Amino acid sequence: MSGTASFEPFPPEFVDLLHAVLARAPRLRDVVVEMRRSRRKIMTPGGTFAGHRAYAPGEDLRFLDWNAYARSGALVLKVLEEDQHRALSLLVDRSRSMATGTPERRVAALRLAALLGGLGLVQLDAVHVADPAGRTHTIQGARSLPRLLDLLRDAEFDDRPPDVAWRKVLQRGLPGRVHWISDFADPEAAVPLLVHARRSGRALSGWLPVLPEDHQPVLDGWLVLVDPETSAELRIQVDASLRAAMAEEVRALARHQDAVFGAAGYVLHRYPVPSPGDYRLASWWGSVWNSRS
Amino acid sequence: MGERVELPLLNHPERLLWLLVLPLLWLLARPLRPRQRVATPHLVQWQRALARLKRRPQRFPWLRFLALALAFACGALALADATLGARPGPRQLAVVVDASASLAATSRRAPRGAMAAAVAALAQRLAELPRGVDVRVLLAGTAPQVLAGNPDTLVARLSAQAPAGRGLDLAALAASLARPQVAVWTVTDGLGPSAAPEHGALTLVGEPADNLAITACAVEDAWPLPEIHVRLTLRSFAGRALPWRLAITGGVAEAEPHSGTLAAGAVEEVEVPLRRAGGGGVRIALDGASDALALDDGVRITVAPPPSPKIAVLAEGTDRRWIDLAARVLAEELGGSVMPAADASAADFLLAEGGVLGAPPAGLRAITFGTRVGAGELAADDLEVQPLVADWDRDDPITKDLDLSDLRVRLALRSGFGAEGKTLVAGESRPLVVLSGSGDRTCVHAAFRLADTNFPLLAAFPSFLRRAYARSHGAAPEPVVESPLLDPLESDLRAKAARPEDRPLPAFGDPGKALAVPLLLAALAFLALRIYL
Repeated sequence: MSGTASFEPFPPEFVDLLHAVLARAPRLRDVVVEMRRSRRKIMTPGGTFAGHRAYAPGEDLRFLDWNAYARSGALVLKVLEEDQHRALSLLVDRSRSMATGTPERRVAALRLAALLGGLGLVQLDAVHVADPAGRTHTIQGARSLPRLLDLLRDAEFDDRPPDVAWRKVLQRGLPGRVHWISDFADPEAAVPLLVHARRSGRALSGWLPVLPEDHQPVLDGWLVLVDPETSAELRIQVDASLRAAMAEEVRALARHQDAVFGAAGYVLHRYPVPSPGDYRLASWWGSVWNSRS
Repeated sequence: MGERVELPLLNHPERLLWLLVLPLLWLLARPLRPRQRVATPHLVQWQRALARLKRRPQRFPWLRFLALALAFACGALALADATLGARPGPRQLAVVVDASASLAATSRRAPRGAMAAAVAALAQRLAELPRGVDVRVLLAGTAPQVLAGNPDTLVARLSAQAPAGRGLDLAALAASLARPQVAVWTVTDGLGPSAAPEHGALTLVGEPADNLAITACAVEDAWPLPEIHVRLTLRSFAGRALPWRLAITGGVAEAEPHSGTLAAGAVEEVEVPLRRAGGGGVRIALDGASDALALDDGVRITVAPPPSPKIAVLAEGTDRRWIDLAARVLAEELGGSVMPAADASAADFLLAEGGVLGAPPAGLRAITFGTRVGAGELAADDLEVQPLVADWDRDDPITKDLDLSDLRVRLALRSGFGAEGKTLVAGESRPLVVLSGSGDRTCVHAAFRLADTNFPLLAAFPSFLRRAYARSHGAAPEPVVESPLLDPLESDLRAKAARPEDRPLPAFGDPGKALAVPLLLAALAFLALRIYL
């Protein structure tokens, strides 16, 4: 099922905003640590050999270990220690539950991914965009920003659980910090992946685009609630007392999400989604920066 | 091996069409469909919020609808008249009982009459009928009747019925009554004009027998005179000669015995002259020991009672022997009495000879001989000497067939001997006997006294007196034959063909146990359960 038909998460206003953010934004924390190295434009791979990881179509052929290919016949990439610090990886939740909310949560997720990926392209050596199918796309250089946007825009829905969707990618090895953008509607579903990332020593950050209705439900009246992933329906009459009870449940969910990430030693960043039509720099970048700090 | 499960039968399965209302009820029972559909990743949280408030999501009330549907189905089954243990077959019995006169015949098999045997057979079969069979009895007699009720009532009413008249066409009747749900049972003697039906159950009672019957009766009454003439037609419906004897009882004088022997199949006319005694009912019956059917053996007629007149005699002169004799004879014959002349005003009939009779009372019945009626004193030229009898009315009932040619009159009144009227006997120049009055109030006036004629010596004189008396009372009342004579076909008890064998009643259907009440109770229970679901 394609989720891209007549779907444009990156209107020109946002692209302009994105360029403004990339021009003005402060450096990412990893960039500050490796500031001196990142200023140098390396033309060839360099750094301490840290190991191999499987090749995925689209990755830079310069990192292919041809000797290993000659020995084993398998295409693997050399992982250098410096790569871990000069790249970032994006895991964007493609489930249908992201296509809910007003505005849609996936729009905010993709724009957030564009912001993070754009910063990575500008300030780091590479950005890796993984999809639930196990493919990893490596993008380098600020001029690859359109390709990044295309990769994000063309994403299709995939309702596989996180552990199933991303474990293969993590096992193959993703360089740099992993930024996992999702609604984490089922926190328990994220636990296996977080445990795996922790055990494999991955640096990981969770990003949750927060909609206004996540704090205070706005539904009212006689309606049918539908789970977009399971198509389960619930006919309810929403009134003030039920909204209050739901707000309490949402808060409990938030506490649960935080607890899950905290138990794995990671941090879940809550990214307040700006209002539709709000393309102010402060609204977008300020949210990223504030949520990260 | 388990027993076969018996399914209920529906007497009105078409009423199950009411079950088509169930889809409508299902539609009405469905909760309203919300217009807004909202996708949310927090469905679990909404469910928990509902649980927190102890609410339940809106769902189709399956249990409530199931209870309603079951209640409706029970009601529909009750409406369809569901029964358990029903057995197909006729549930109504139409009994055609031959009530024709031939059922009154007695025989060796039915000494109390074939009708009594039919009632006995009916009582026995009705007692053996399955429960719930609706019985109607059609009494096929002269006036068909339909009897209904419980078996005891039917038997009692049938026992009170007397066979009479000519029966109906039983074969056509049984055929017209036959229905899939109606069993027809004919009880007949198989005799008479109608043949036994070929269809349906059949029970034959009685048996062929010899029979004598009075098939016709004609009565001539000479009232107020005592003569009654009865002509009977006797017919034999036997294969052998049978003796017969008439027994006559009632308001007539004892008659001479009438008896004889009627040959096989013969028809004989018997003349029975009777004399009126007290009048009223008279029964003439055949008295034959070998006769099987009594209904056609007798005839009852009703004749008028005798007038029993009080006769007064008024006579002038010394020679009144003839007028007294005439009064006495007339009184004896009619059962009346002769009154003294002083009480003549109270008399019913007056005989007068000579003299002058003043203004006669209206409605007087009288015979006068040479009496001046309403006239003055007698003058010399009022008398005519030796008038000759020229002729007499040969058509009038009084003078018809009388021979008056030898009547000789020595002296007669020329006029004033009575009101002008019809001339009965005419002289050469004037009437000698006239009839006055009309209807049942007539008088006969003669211009001569009896003593001046040889009239009392003539053979016609008694007849003249009786006829004049009878004429004075007008027309005689018609005698009534009260007993309707049977159709000769009913009297013929000889079997015309081989009588069929008895045919038993069919196996009746059983309506089974009605489930309407349990079903309605179940429907109410389901409705009550629905309240708590």
